[in-house]
Amino acid sequence: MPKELAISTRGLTKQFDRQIAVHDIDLHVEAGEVYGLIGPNGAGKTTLIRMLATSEEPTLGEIYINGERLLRDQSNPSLKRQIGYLPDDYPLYDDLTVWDYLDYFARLYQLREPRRSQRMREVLELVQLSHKRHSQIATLSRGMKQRLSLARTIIHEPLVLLLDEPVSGLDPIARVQFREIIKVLQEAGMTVLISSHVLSDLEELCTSVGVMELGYLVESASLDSLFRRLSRQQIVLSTLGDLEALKSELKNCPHVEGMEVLTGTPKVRVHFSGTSEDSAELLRSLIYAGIPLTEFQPTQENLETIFLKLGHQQAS
Amino acid sequence: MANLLLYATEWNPQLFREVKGRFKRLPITIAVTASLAIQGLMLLYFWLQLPPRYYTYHRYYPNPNGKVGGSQVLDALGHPMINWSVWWADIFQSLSWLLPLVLLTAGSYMLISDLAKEEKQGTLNFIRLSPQTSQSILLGKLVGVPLLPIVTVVAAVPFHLIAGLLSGAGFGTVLSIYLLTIAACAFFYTTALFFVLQGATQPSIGPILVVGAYFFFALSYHYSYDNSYYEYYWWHGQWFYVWLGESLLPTVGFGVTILVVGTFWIWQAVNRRFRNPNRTLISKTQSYGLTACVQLFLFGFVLRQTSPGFEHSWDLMALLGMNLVWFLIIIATLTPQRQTLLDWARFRYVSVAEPHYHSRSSTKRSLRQELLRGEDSPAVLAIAVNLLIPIGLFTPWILSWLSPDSFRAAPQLRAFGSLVIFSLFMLICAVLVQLILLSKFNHRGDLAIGLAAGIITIPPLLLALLHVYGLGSIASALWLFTAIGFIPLLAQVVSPLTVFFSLVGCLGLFSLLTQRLVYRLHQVGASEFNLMTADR
Repeated sequence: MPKELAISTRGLTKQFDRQIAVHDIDLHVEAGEVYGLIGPNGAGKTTLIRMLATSEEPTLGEIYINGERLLRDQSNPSLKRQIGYLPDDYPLYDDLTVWDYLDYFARLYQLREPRRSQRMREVLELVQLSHKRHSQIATLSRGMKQRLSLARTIIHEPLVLLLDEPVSGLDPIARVQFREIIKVLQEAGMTVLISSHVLSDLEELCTSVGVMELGYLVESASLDSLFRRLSRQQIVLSTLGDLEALKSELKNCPHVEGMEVLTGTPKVRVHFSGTSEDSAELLRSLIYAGIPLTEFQPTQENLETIFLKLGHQQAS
Repeated sequence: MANLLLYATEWNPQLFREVKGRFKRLPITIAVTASLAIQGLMLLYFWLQLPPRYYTYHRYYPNPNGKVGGSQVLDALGHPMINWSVWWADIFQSLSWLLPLVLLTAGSYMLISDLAKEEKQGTLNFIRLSPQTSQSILLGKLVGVPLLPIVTVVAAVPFHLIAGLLSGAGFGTVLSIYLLTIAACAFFYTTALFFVLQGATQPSIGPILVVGAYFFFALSYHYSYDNSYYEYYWWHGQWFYVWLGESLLPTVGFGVTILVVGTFWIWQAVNRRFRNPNRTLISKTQSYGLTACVQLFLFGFVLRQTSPGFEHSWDLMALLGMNLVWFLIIIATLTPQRQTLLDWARFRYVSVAEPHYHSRSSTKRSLRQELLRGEDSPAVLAIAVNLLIPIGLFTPWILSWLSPDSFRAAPQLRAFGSLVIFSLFMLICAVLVQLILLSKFNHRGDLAIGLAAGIITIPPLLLALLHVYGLGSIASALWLFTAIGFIPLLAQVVSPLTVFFSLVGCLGLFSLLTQRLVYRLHQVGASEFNLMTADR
């Protein structure tokens, strides 16, 4: 039975004057997924997310959140409570303390006591800012401000989380922290739509990805099926013996589609089309043939390679 | 009290945030201290105004007739007697002007500054995305942001009350000042929000507007010191046969009503803009109610007792003159921008020419409904309906005019003629403005304003400079094609035949322009549709 769709759009289009920023997009994100949106700058990712967050009005098309139609002009209180939106710039009130800031948004999202204080404590713990609860926002570091913004975004326990470039400008440690938080949120059952330039982050987080280019959604699939379809399996082998003997032995295997010698090392990278059993069989045959193997490492092409293979240009 | 505060903050989170940010010991102490210091200084100033012993005549000496000012009378101890109620009345009056001024200038400044800052930083957008209604957020801002001026003024209320009590001003007078102040705050604060949502960022606009309004009232203020020292009213005149400026209740009632109705309509626009900054200021449906309110307000001034033989045509002329400005505002407010219209034209094109392509709820509405009530549709029909409102309102009044004497022929017919020619002129303006806003010119907005201003001012100026006057001359018919065509018509300087031909001419021009607009809309609708579907 197919899962329920958390986000669904039908013919979603946004036009600014003569320029069409988002072009007839039918996006389907299943409940509980972490959906990564990738594409070069100006591809329409931010516009698409802004429309989903009701921050921008579509020129054409419809948006459904958990099956319910989203209309910008109506106040939609119940639908708005289901959405959490974190834009790429995350303006905060510098004059408030961390606690007061969250308290303000918890009240805006109609959380009542004692649940409000409890939820604020939970969220602060999740974003690791409990120790900063009485600090003025102006004194926080960039990473802390980013995490506080995320805390604000999830304070009302939204079902759908829309994150636009959440890790841009963060240092590696802050990025790791952020990734961990997203994983916790996914485990808590939130559906996350996340746009990012950092494909390695998305690869680790996402269950599905969509590729946008020039306003079109040119690819939308689960990460597994994308890898199955587009990522070739590779095996890196190294030997203590003669490289030619290894190569001639590899040629006997029908699943080896090609190979290249890694320059400066006694290593060969093989493009392999077989299953795991086939690769085990290859390893066995090589050992039987007396090849002194020191390394046999099956790997897969990463998201970045797939993205480039699709013919798209990643901006950064 | 604590429970009430708790309830209020639960009920309005925005108010909670504003109060929490501002209700801090230091600013509150400063506000209250400043208020008390100013009260002390005022008291000192008025104390110094008391007459020295050698004055034989002074404003504060008692008058046996109960009027203001008198000759020196000594009491049993040999001190000059002071009419303290006049002295207190002066303090009361100064405070009655000063307190609202502080509230209005400081409050509007703070509101514009606060909201413009939030809009610029982007934090307002987060509040917009929350499930709170726009009313609740804006109300929180309206009451919470000007908290310090409110505290300052409230700290002066006891002094004001004492001054009112000791001056002998009645309870009604004191209450009326508070009522008017609250109504004026509502009006000016909402207007301040309106300016920000219209893109204003300069907070000084608020105080400038308030001080301007103060000057306007001060200049037209009428002090009637002869009867009693606290009766001072603004402007004497009739409104719906009620004399204003004669007694307290109708005058204050009129002021409060105008401010409340004004606040209501600005509030509608502010709400719409806050929810969706791309929308027109008011919807077509709202415009009908607004025009009806404005027409009733204007109409009230002509419904008055007049001397026999009074020419009502002059009143109608004044009404149409005011309406010229009003309908330009309506055209500017309702006419949608190019992109909005392109989207609408495409939807219409799709629903009529390619009905299988898309189904959209609004396209299920008939064209007439779309044009009368739709959000993005061209506004010409809605403007025509707005123009029918004064016609409907003025008709019974025009019919009630006394029968014409032998000298002036058929004033009623001429009155209707002037209404029709005025409406046709405004419709021509509306279609022209819409055509320009639909064009691809770079500065089409400025061009539309320039053109509207041009066709209203230049032709009458040109005709006046060329000395085109005279009863019945063909050249004088040209006047009927100008914005003030109703003036020669009502002043009876053009012949009925000229009027008839001018009406036909205006009607012809209007239908030509309308046909052009319909053609253009169809054209852009089709091309927009093709553009959108080209890559499918």
